[in-house]
Amino acid sequence: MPDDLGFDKLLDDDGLVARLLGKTRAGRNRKLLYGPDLPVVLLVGGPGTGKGRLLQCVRGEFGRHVPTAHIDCGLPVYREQAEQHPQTRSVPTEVLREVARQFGAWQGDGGAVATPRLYAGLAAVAASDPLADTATLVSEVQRHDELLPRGSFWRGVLNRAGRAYVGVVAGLVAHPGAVPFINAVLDELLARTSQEGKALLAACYGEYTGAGGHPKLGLHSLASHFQQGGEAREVAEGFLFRALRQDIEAAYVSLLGRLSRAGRPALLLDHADNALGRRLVRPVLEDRERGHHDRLVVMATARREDGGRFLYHLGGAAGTDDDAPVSWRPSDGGLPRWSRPSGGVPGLTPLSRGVLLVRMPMLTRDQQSRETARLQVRRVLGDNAAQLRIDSGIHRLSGGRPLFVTRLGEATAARTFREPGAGTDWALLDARVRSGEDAEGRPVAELLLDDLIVRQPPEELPPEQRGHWLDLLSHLSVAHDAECAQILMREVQAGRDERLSAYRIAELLRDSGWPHCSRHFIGDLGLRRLLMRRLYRLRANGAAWLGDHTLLREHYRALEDDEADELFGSAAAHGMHHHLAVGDAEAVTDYLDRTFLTRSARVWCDELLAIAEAPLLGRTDDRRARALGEAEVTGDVRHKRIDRLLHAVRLCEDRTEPLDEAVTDTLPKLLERLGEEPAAGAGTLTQTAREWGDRLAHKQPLRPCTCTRHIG
Amino acid sequence: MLNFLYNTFWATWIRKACTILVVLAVVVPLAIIIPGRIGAPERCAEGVERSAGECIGVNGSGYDFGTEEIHQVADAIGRENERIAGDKDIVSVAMMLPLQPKSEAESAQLRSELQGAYLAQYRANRSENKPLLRLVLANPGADYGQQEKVVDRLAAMADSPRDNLRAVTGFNLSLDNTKKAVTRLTGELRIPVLASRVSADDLANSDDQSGSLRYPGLARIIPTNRQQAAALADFHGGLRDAETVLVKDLRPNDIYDESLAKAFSRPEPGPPGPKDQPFTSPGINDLGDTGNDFTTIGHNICESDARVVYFAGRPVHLRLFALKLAEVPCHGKKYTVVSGSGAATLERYMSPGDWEKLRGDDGAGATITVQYAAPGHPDAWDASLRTWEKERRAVTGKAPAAGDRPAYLTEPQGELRELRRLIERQSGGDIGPVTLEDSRTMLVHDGVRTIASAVFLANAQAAGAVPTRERVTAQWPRLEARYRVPGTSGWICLTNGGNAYDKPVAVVKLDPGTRRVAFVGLGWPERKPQPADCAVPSGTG
Repeated sequence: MPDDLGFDKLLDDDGLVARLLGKTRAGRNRKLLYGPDLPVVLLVGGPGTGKGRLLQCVRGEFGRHVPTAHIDCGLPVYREQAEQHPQTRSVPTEVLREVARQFGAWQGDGGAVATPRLYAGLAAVAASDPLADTATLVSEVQRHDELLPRGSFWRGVLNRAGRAYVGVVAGLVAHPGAVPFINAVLDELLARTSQEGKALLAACYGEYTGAGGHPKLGLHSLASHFQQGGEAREVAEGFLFRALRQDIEAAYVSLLGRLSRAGRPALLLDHADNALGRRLVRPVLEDRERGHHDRLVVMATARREDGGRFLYHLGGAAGTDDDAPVSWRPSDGGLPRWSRPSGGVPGLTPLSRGVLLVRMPMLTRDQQSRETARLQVRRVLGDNAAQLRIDSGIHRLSGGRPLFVTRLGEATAARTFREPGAGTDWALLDARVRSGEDAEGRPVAELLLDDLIVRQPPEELPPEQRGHWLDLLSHLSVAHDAECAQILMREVQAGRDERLSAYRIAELLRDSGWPHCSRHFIGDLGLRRLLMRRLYRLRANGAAWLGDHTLLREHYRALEDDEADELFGSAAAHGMHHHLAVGDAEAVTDYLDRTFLTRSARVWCDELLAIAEAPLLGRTDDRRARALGEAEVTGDVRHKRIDRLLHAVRLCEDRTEPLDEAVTDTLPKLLERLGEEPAAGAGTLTQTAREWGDRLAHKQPLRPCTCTRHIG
Repeated sequence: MLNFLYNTFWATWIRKACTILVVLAVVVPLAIIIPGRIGAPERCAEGVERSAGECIGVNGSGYDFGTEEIHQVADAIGRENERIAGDKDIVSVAMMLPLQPKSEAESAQLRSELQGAYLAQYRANRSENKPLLRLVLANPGADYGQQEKVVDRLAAMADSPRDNLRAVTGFNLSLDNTKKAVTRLTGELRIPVLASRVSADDLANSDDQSGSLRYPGLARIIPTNRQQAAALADFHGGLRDAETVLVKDLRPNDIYDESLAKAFSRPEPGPPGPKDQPFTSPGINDLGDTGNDFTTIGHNICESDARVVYFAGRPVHLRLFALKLAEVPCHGKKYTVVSGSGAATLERYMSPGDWEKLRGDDGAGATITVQYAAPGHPDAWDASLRTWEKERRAVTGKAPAAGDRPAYLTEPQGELRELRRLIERQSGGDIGPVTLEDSRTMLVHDGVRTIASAVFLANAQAAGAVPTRERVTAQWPRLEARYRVPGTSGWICLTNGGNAYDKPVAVVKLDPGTRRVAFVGLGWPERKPQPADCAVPSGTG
């Protein structure tokens, strides 16, 4: 996949990124967007939407022209480093150190960004463990030596002093003093710093809680807060980040900085919706809310649609008016209008005020076709029909999700699907992708599940559940509402102590950024198909698939027939849906035939749609033949008509291949002919027939639903 | 590529600043230098443009055309022009001659000429006559090479009511370009031209009575070569035939040699002297085998009684002849070699060793003295008056009364005295050292005086303060008799062809001992002094 697939509008010369950073990807200057108060840009999108890829693009293309630091918050390396010395290191300090290192390595316009303030803070923290022996502390302090600024403006100010001071610190090993180590370090640091250095440290750490303008007190408090752990440590870490941002700001506002630098520096946080990401983003938001502005463009990724729960007041749902952050998607055009809402008390207002949500763009159909065409290994001339079938299948399954498109494109690149019935969505998912030494390759569906589910479990998923998380979701692929999901979960986790409720799973899915659909528990059509396919293959001969459907059928059959069901109208209809999925169309026809007389036409049509949506897996597909009346069906005319109608609707609703014109022509006629029956509400049926006809003409699903909206 | 340039030179303020500084550092000097080298011509001064390495154009603001010697006089002209600038009755007179000479001698000559022009302007502007004269300097380049541009400019000035150019003077060389310039100025543009120092017969209107003029509007104030030769021969008219010998160059098509030979061949009294000694030179500046001829001629002359040798030849041959004659041992005999006005340039061909030879080694005066006709000499009037008085005393036995002294001598004498006084007083400001000896100052002064007279005369007769060009041209023939111009080099009375009638020449000798030009006597082209009141007699055109 080309790195910037689908990001044209974002990475444009006048796109959002260029305006935020003040530089185009070619290095041209652009007028800066916003400022001096900047929002934290959250790139919001579910799995497989290219958030990390976008950050890589920004890093790769724009990182040549402005200083950028790229941190993958999902990497374990920071945690591992921090755990070596948990008393004097934490994950955020390690990340800050890495950020400072990356800014220090900048060699473009203006040269390296010096970070003396952060150094002072990190040195104080490194020396703060009261229990450790001196040698350990000295090595901890010296670990940060590489952050000591070299060259540049600091040459005469802190560098020489720093060198001498490092020597003295090293000398402390030989002569352990009576005073606490941190005092010695800070005394030495401040004593050896020049007037400018002192003033700058005073301006920074003098502001620390309880410092009263004395940098030494501030650094002491910072270190002791860090040692206290918990919330106090978070405050200290937040302050260290502020020190780093002040360093960066200072590099830009000095005369030399103004002359020699252009644009804004950027901090790119990938996988920032975990605890580490929040610990980095939160202090930035809080500081900026309090008026500590800086020009660091923080771009973080988030999977949750609203950017993350920590942005909002606890208990308050996302989306109340004053909380709602500015949300923008590239297809909206123009640039997002962001400004911090006036008023509000810092600390009491939700953090969402300082956030700009940028929704990751889905690929348009054109972009999808171009991408699949690009991946095509050998173009078969004159076989446009097959290619169109593949393209429309990819579009149905992916819904524009870039990872989906690319994986499916790769899988089908070498295949032609010449047979008219061969190119169903299931066949697409079965296509194999060769990877590495595996000559056979793996079905693309498995690869996709690995990418989308296995590799990025929800953050809050208990570790003991991780093993069968995918299994749970597979079972849930047949569920519609939380109720039937709950039945399945109870059955599937019957032998376990720790169970996950369906409601919890719904929350976890939302945290992972999967969309919610009111009619399907798994709210994404592509993911649902992947999971269904997996469920069918979970046990031999689709036993798990049949078992789940049977379980649900039995559950609903046990209820009163007319018990209201939110999605299906009645419990009986819900049961019939699963019955149909198991494979018995006859019983369903009977049921519909029976209820045709007892229910109002409108209700009957709704039930028909709900039932007929049942997916067809693992059985020969005779739907077309039966829809067109080519199969032998016993019964009276109405029964036959209803049977045909059921199969025609099923073909249109369980859409796994492009619509057949014969079927779409027949369907409204069948429905209208049912109106000829004396008992029928002829008017309603005729009206419905026209509505359905219109929808089919536009190739839309008969029943609109969140997860099938993109079809058509 | 574009992005690379942008990122390298324009991405930050400091890069922009450096780029701008570097670009300025390159562009500004180029912008200053290049336009002068290419494209639009560089201006030397107002109205003067650089062309082919020379400053060509017309200027009246005191620009010295880069010639150090004329700096002071040009400055004085500029000041005088500025002084009169406020007056509304002003006519311009252009001084057209090469103003950037290469050699020092030429520069000094140029200075003399400009001094003469300035002094005449100075006098004219203080004579209570209107209009006032504005003098402008016009440089046509070396050898008048770029005269066309200057003539174009002069034409524009003649038409411009601001400049009112009414006459062009100068013209110190008889060259093809000079002729072209004069032809165009007079013929096409109808601008009055006064040639003050051109002697070529070609550059003159003939004084026959046909009435049609070759150069309508041309006036000249020195005799032509032919007239000079005639005057020179007249001066030596008292010699007996035996005392003279004619050495003549027979090279065909040389008018100068021919006219000299013809003038020198008139009959002389007394027994016949030695016959003419002819030789044939290969070219004007080519010696060929003439050296041998001259040696034999020298021997023959030595044998004769001749002590005055008329030499009808070019200066190059004159030099060699003089040297050979000096070499021939002849019992201490001394010769006077008489030649045309071309001999004035003899000095240019003589090395110090040559002078030594001519001077002789016996200490009793020079062996060879060269005599020739100069257009004027500052000692002419005093010496001539003394001679005249001596003659009168010899005739009448008593000193003549002051009132009897001839006006053709006293009037120029007065003029010259006036001029000298002006120079000594330095009332015209510093114009550099003035030497009258080479006659240039006097001649040019007389020329501008003549122009001024014509302009005043035209003005006095017509309505409106500034006369038209045609009016000025029409005044040339009027300048005689009552309206004669008493010049420092003699009376100037113009014939209908614009030639000065019977203008005396000063016969001078070049003494090898002093190398100075000494006055010998006056010669008259008509073989008699100018008539009283300088009325041009009929039959002179």
